[in-house]
Amino acid sequence: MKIINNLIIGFIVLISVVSCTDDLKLGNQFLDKAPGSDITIDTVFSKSVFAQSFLWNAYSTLWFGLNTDWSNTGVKMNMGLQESMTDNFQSYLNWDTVNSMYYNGKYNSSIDGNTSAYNFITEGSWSGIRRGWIFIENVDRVPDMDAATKARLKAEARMIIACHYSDMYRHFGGLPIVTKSFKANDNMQLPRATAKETLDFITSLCDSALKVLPWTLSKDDVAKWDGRFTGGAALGLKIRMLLFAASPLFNDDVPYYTSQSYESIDKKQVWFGKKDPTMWNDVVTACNQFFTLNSQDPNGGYSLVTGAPESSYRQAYFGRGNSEILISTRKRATVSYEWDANWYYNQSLGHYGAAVPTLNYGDLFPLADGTPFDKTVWNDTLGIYKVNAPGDTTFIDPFANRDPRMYETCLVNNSSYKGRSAELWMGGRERLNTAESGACATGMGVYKFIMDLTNATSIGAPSEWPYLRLAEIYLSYAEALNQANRTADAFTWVDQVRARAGLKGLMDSYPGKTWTQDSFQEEVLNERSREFGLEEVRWYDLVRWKREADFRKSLYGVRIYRVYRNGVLVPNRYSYKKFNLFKRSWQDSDDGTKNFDPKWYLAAFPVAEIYKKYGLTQNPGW
Amino acid sequence: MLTLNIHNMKIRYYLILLIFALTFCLQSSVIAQNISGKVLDMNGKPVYGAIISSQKNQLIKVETDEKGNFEIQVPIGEKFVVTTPDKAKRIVVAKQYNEVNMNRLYSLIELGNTLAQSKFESTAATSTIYSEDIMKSSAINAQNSLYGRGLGLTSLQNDGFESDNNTNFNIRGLGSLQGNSPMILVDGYERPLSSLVKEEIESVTILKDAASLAMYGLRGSNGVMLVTTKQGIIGKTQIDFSYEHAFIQPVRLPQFVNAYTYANAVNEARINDGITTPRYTDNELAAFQSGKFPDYYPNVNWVDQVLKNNASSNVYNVSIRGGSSKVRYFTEMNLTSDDELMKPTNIVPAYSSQFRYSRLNIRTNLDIQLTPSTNMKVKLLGSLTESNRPGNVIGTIMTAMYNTPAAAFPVKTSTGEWGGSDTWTSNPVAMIAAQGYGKSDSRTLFADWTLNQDLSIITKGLSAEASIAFDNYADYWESMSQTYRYSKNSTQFNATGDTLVNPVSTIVGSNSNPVYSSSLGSQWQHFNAFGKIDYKRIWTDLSLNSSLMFLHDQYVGNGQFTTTNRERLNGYAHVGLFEKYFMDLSLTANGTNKLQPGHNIGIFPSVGAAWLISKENFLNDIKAIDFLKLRASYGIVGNDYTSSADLYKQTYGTGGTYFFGDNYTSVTGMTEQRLATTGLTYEKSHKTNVGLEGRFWNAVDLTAEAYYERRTDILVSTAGSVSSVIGATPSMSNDGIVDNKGIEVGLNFNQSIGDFKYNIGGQFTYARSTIINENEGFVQYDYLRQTGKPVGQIFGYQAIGFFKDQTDINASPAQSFSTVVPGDIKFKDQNNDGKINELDKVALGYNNICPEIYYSANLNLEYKGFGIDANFQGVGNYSAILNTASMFWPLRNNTNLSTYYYENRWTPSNPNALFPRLTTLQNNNNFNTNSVWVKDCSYLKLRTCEIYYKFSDKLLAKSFLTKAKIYVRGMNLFSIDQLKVVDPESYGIAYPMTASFDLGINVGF
Repeated sequence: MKIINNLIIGFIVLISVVSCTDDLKLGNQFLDKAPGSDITIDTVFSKSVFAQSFLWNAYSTLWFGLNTDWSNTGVKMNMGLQESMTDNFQSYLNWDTVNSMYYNGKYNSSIDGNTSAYNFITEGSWSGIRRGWIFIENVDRVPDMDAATKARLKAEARMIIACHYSDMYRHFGGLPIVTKSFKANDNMQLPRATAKETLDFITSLCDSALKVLPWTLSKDDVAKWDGRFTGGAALGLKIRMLLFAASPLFNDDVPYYTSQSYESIDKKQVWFGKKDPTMWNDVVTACNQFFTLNSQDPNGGYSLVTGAPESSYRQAYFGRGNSEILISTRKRATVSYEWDANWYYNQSLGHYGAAVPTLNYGDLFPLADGTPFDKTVWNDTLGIYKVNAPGDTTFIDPFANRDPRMYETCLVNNSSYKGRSAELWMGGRERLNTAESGACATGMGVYKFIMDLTNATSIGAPSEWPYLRLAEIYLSYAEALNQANRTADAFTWVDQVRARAGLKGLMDSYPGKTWTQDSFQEEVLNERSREFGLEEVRWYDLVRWKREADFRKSLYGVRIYRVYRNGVLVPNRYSYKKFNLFKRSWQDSDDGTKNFDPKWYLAAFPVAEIYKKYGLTQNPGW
Repeated sequence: MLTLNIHNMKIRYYLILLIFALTFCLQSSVIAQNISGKVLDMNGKPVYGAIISSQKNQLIKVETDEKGNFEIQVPIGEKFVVTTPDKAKRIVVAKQYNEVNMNRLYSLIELGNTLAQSKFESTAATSTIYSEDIMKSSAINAQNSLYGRGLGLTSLQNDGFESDNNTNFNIRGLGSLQGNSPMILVDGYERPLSSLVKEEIESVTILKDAASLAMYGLRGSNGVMLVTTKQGIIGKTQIDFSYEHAFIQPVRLPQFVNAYTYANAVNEARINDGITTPRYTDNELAAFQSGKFPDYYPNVNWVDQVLKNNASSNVYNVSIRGGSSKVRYFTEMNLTSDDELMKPTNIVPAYSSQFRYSRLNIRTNLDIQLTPSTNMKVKLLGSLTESNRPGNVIGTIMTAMYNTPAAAFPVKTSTGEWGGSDTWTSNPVAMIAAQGYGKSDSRTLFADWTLNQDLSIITKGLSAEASIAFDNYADYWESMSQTYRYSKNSTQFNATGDTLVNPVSTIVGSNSNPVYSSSLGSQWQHFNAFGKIDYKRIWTDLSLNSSLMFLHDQYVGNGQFTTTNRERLNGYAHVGLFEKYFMDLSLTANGTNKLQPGHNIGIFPSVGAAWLISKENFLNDIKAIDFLKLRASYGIVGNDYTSSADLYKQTYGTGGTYFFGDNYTSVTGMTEQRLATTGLTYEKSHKTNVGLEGRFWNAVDLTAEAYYERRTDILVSTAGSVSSVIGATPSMSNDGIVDNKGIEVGLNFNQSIGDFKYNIGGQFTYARSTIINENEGFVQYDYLRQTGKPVGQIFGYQAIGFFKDQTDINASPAQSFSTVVPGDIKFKDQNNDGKINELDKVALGYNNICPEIYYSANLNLEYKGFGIDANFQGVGNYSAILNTASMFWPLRNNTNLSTYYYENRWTPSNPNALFPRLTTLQNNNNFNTNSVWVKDCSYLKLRTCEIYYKFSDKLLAKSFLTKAKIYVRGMNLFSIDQLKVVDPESYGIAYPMTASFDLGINVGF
């Protein structure tokens, strides 16, 4: 027995030796030991620096309007852009969902993958909202942070929530209103609120943030903290929402969709149920408040970037920390080269034609002095045959001498490009592919954001998405004043935006024109197109004004040819041929058949989401 | 015993008899009497060292001598027990002279936890693969030696790379929605089978039902494979040497079209796509055809350039086995080397970039009787493997070999530079020869130590056992990596098209110096401690075999969140009445750190019952029945699978940087990660099994099983039901339910007629699962619903031919995947909405994970030492998705074109083709999961076929050898299937499957 005793003792000793650094544990002590150690919510809110990191992460969920990477939020419309759904741009990236879901009319509530114009599930908005609420609910327990900082950071979190709601509101209308971070087993019966309730929720978030946030960042803070929400951002976002709400999409005597009844119409989730013209006054009031606060700001307030027309305009939409950016979102600093797979818009815009300007868009840009461009030049006076006729010595290049914003937004023939002149003529370096495809398929290309695709211009410069600019407040103010029957007061706000581009005011540009409320409205929308090309303003303008005609109209491009006379090239002489771009399913057929359906004004909720039965109703037409 | 509640009159009657018998035994033991006998093994050879003991008094115990003879004091008519060193057990009624034949029927069935039951008594559904069958394979990885063996085990090979751990095992199909792999135990502890060589394996037992699995608690639901290594035996030292050489050949190598055909096909595809400009001009086509300008218009068969036609492997094995009643030993040394099929040699002579693999395994299993009542076992395995490969992994090289067309570029240009082009930048040959090498060294140690103490001193039948095991593994990598430069050539033709003008060669990249690096590939360690108390008693008509066991198990893997801690407590009782009725009761408590503290212990009961019908009097007269047993079991087994560590915790992490300010630097973020799963619990498998086993006419063995399993609490996502408004990755919940039903039949004929021996057997298994719930959420049409279908069911579009012409397209429902032209696949509009989209998917075929039907047949004929042995294995109800680039989905993204596709493509003149038209575009219409590509993957393979000669004892008597065998063996000689051009087990881009001819010799001293 002695030998056995020794062996048993030896056995126990051996077990102890094997697990030598950790004490040998048995039973619950052993089984309850987690496989590894983790960061918990208590870790996050135990220190100011961690808590702030949590908020900075929530910032990273904010909408960035250009496609970047292949993630759910970076891919946008499978590398296509919302702007190509408007009349200003056309997509020639045939595998993007602009083509495969929208142009062909196949988008519906059940095939809504993660690449629709705005995906209810995967766009990251709900997770941004959740992170905002988690921050608000927990930041008070951070020991090493003062009350003022806590209040300011909470206000920023509210703005993150408000931004996500404002994006979704313009795609879906009324939404479930989330006012806390849900636990996994919370009751998730959260029905859709009315359009009005959702609007009030967003504006109240802005109002409460406005009370706490500094109007602008101080000069010292700009270098380090530009991009954080300010009072100007809060009130600016509120103005954007009030303007959208005051517009006829929701604010009308009839819902935008009438051919069939829908629960969402009955419950006033996609309109307000009546037309209330005083909603325009709310916009005016908010703008008045904006400019009052702006003038009182000790840091000097926001102002349009001024200077040389084209460079000041570029600075306004592209330069970080400029004086007119109210909200800018960021994903990355710079890229090393244009083919970086995680900075895709350089490729999709610069090479694949994800958004190619239409001639309709080009025609909106006036001459450099502000007087309108004569669209009739495209009607065969410049046709390929006539230009070779004798007596054409007075050739005028239609792409020359135009609004500088045209050259910043579009790549046009003979504009300055990569240290030379752009060659948009058939067979030129930008138009080697003479088919209606590629980055310059319409005879024009994109210049904004990607510029020369060089380190000196776009690639090496810290980038941002100009989510909201002061110029939009100016033009929104003008629109609201006009709709509030104060057209005369409205001109100056448009003219200031034009002046930055070096254009004359509207009155001077259109001598002798009689301005009506309607014609002024048209001009404001055109000015918004010109000012905010590729900045995701046009789609919402089309929608909120129910611009059916703009959906249905034909879109054009132009083929540019070099001119040979007796077999010899005539330098700097071109002939032009306007042509119809390929059609979208919502455009009228050639025989005039109307194909448009107002369902396109708002997006469809994924049908699987509706069938979770927590109170979501489908939007009309889907 | 008297506390038993006895209702049955018959049992009461027997009990009275039992008491009588006991009295009788006591009396008879007084009259001491010697009986004698001889123990023979299944081959009729005497067994040395078999233990003969009186059933009544186990202290009366003798061993057989070298000739198998024994003499023992057991009264005639009483029972004695024969136990052989290789764990066979037989109870015999004593006669004056007893010849005891120990055939397989008497082999003990391993149940793990050092428990074993005789086949007559076991209530569990198990099957066993013995060494002699394993050794019929030439696989150099033990994992690959089990095809078609073990009723209920499905094993499939994934690619032909022999040294890879590429076998998929399933026991009884797919019982769960994820993680269906069985647990593999080697000598009782969880260890990878791939570390073993087949020569050291004694048997592999497959545990399938609750009676055998409930003991494994949280680890048993997918079945268990118990691998037992060879042990020492009492007797003269046996030295066994074997050598096997394999001539390996690739099978079903992909065949791609030549450069001229490829160029024509690309032009044809462009015309199909509406692209008017041809990719290759007539001059270029002519140049491809003539081969006059190989620098510019090459024609390279890349498969020929990359792969050799033959490879070889060598296996040397020496094992020494023997011992006495005090010490028994088995020791083995195995050296395996394998040379693979890569052709090119390295440009740097200093090192090799070939695929080579070698392994040295050394095992020692010792069994020491320290005192008459104390036994100690030590098992040690050390394994060193070394594998060498080119600078690129096999998958990358194979991808380049498949996807580079013959027309792409020459292997090397006439100036000696590697070939390359703008479109194709990876030269498959240069990837092997000019990018350095990678080499891995792995070391494995398996060590366990067991002490068993008989405690009859305390009470009769009591014993205790304790063991510990410590295993570890590490693999280290070193590599030399370098880049190569290549030349891309372009040229033009002169006006007449027969001479090249303006040839341009551009050098891309550079030949860099090799850069050395090394790293730890992976490592793990595993510690187990096991303790057990056994209480075994046999009374006259009642036997009890009970155990109380405890296991402490810690696995520490590579990296964070990889430590799993588990502890298990088992109570087990095996009760036999009258040697006819048997019952197994088992109760297990198993805890795990993968679940939430406080909720991390599961209780698993099981009950099994067996009725040995052949012992019943009414069958006594039927001589045909040697053995017949009916059994049934029910119980609950668990699975602590979780999709990620700490699933029950709400975790936070760093991530999501943001760029404030006007500068280039970012601030880091912290964020909430996936939601915590509340109420996390383990998966439960409710297993019911009914089985019938029998042996008839001393020649036919039959096993038939039927089972029904319901798996509940399977971990599934809640995404289908929880509002997305929650704004976080939805939590998981234990809501999944899967039913799994099946049958298994095994039949074996085994007989000797004079010098002629034959063995013909077959196995058939069928398993079908049904998803009862997986939180699927809303689906618009019933035919889209996965619930109600088998696990892994393939869904896709149903093709109804190819579009004939534009009229056909216009008249058909619009297909939304990409623009269709004639020759594209036409799909059925399942919901008749005039549109073909995601809503028109239906279930196609079966699954492509695990076949529902798995069967095999084996044949062995032997006459005077000459023999032939074959093993066929097949599967059914199994589907393949043929989406291999170049092979079935050709030309897109500049990939290659297979001859098979080319010859079976749609053209206007071949409208009833197998495959759609050629296209160079993405073509999401043709290239998605649809019935053109979902094919029947059933096959029947000849896994092994062997002709051998065993030298007769007469011949050997004159030599120093005790046994000798020479053989020629073919592995995977043919496959009958529908896929024809690709192997049904490996139809993707992978190292080719192989067939081999093996020459082997096996001698014993």
